[in-house]
Amino acid sequence: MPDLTGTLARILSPLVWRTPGHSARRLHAFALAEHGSMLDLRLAAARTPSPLRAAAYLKHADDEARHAQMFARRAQRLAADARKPPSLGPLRADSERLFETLGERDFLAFVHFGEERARRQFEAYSIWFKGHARDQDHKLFETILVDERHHGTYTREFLVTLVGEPEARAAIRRVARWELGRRWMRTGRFVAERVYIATMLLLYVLAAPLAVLVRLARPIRRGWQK
Amino acid sequence: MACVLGISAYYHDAAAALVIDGEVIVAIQEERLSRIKNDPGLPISAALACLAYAGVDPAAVDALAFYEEPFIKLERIMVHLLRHLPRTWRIFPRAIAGQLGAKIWVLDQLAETLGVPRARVVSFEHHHSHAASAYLVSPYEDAAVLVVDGVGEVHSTSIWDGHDGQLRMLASVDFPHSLGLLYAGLTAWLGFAVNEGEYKVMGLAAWGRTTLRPEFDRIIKLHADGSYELELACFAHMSDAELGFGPALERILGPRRPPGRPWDLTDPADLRYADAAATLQQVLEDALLGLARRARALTGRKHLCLAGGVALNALANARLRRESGFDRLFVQPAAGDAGGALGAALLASHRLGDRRPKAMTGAALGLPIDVTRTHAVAAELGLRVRRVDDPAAFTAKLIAEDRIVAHARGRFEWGPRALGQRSILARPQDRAIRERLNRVIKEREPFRPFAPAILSERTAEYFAADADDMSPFMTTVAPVRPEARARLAAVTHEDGTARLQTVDLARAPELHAVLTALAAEGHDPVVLNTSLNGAGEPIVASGEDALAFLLRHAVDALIVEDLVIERPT
Repeated sequence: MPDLTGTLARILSPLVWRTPGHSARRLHAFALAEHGSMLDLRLAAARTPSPLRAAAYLKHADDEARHAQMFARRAQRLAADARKPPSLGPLRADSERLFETLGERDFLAFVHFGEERARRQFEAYSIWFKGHARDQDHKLFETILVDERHHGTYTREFLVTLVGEPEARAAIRRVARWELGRRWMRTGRFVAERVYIATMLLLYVLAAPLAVLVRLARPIRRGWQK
Repeated sequence: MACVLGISAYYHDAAAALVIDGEVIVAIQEERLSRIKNDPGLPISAALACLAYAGVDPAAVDALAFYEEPFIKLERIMVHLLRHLPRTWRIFPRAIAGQLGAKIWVLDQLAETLGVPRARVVSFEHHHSHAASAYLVSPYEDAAVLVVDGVGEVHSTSIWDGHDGQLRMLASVDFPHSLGLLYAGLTAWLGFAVNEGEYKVMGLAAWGRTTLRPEFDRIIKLHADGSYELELACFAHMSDAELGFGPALERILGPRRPPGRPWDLTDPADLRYADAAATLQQVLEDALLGLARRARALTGRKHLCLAGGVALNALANARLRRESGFDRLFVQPAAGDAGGALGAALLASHRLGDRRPKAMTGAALGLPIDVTRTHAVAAELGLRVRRVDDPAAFTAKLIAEDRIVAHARGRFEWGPRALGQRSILARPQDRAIRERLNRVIKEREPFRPFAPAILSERTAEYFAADADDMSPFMTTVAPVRPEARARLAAVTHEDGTARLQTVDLARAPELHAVLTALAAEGHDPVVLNTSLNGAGEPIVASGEDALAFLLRHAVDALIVEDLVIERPT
């Protein structure tokens, strides 16, 4: 199967990492993704009936928390070097509650799928950084890649132990399709949001006469009210 | 005889609380289960956990009470957006999406998601829920109730008369004039996250001087009748919900402090920011004092209950106790929006004919830890776990040996304070412990203080105050006696005070046992008590959370009920 993720990452690297500002934003996005993944794994640890898997999820969550910090710190340093420092915002993500949504079999398949995809992407970036003498960034990705490889391996092993090889493969294919569907939906939402904002701003302009009415009928009240 | 589930959600600190036959059975903030700090989302996990804890089927719930009136809030937001047109253009699409997309349908969503018939879903006004959350669980028969927060539907401050289990609103100050929004704006100006950094501002205040009062007098006017008025141009209610303050504030106080920059309180620039925090604290206290005196004049009551996010300002509460003229003060531990869930449940319970609950004795209203499961997971993690017969004595021994102990015993706390059930405990003597906790474990600013927990009956030996109705919940401060300062160096703040927790057997039995064991060995019956969480995380709830904390943080030992997990020394 061709490595589309890695190929795309290689092609886009010069664009993604072109300035410290762009690099900072990208690394911050990775930090948020790792943070979100950490939350999902913590929830999974609390919900799985198996203490063995709970322990593995906790260790994995710990790695994700560390990765999030590493990405965030590097992002901050790069942001400080940027000509126009980007505003990165706090390191705060939402969980997707994947364990509850998918159940443990598909959760494991999804985590495996995500880790493998991240590994291919990070490998491509690491090579690019090495080629461009960005040693710190190269080292950052190489350090994280050690964990990513382990995460990809253990999740597959657990999945196979849980449901057997054929069902594990089917589950990975299923979550890959599901993820593709989610990407499609995200794209749709992105477009819909723009249409919504344009419509709302039009409505806002049309509501302008009401503003005068509201100011007259409902002025700001000061002091004590009964 | 009713079973009522209260819910607060969709602003910050979503929560659920279950009241059966008028008594509070369980109350949980969603963040403890979702692991997202200040989680504002619909608290379905918390609601289901409450029901599961009590063994109640959702279909058996007699009422599901929401802490806010969604349509009154929608009206206020629409009026606000139109009144400030065109400055509201940036927030208009998002505000409308938030309201129409989810918030106005919240009652239907709750009914559908939890499987409670829609006819049983009721709602109460935001400040009414807050007032009920404080008054109805207070130890007072009659009391004045003061609610101060950012904004509910319309009110930002309200005064209530609590009499015979009933609440009557007497006066209010309405949005956009708001002490909560003043504090939020200044929190953002100081470079902290709004709804999260307010404690940091309070901690920072002790390092500054109140030199900026003339500047603050231009930002907020305090009137003789107790009301107040913001200089609205200083705030950004109408243009930027994230930022919280406007350019006029920077014209008066100077440029904002860049978020994330490390603090250096030897730097004059940072000292000026500390002066701003100190002056803000003084202004807030003066404003609250005016409001409390007004509440006393309107109600004639001897006792005061405080609610709303501003009621978590322990420094201000201490001053109110000293100067407001009320004999006693009570602040419910989850005074912020989470508390609204409890208030709404109590109001619905009362409406269904149940009696008022007994006074709140403790804040351990969350879920217990599954010890067997924790043991099994810890073993799988390769940690060295052992059981001890007397975990309190063992904890005391570790603390006396200058070790930092993560302590997870009993049901977790309700509200933002760790009160011994999910705490990090250490010896209070050594300032080096404070540095280690701040830098390595909590990863937070060096100026932030730690709180002491002390055996209730020994309070006066160490503090110039006795235990009162607030001190068990850590919602007030007291001066440390000069002769005790050296022994409480790690928990005495820059201004010589400490945000103490007085501990008695009924409210926090696990922590009480630790303090008693320390006293029995001839040590001070005091520990440094800080919340069991990492930077930016909610306080630990489950055994798995405690283990996750141990993996990431350099505490010396973790105590989970009778399990001990020690790091090799």
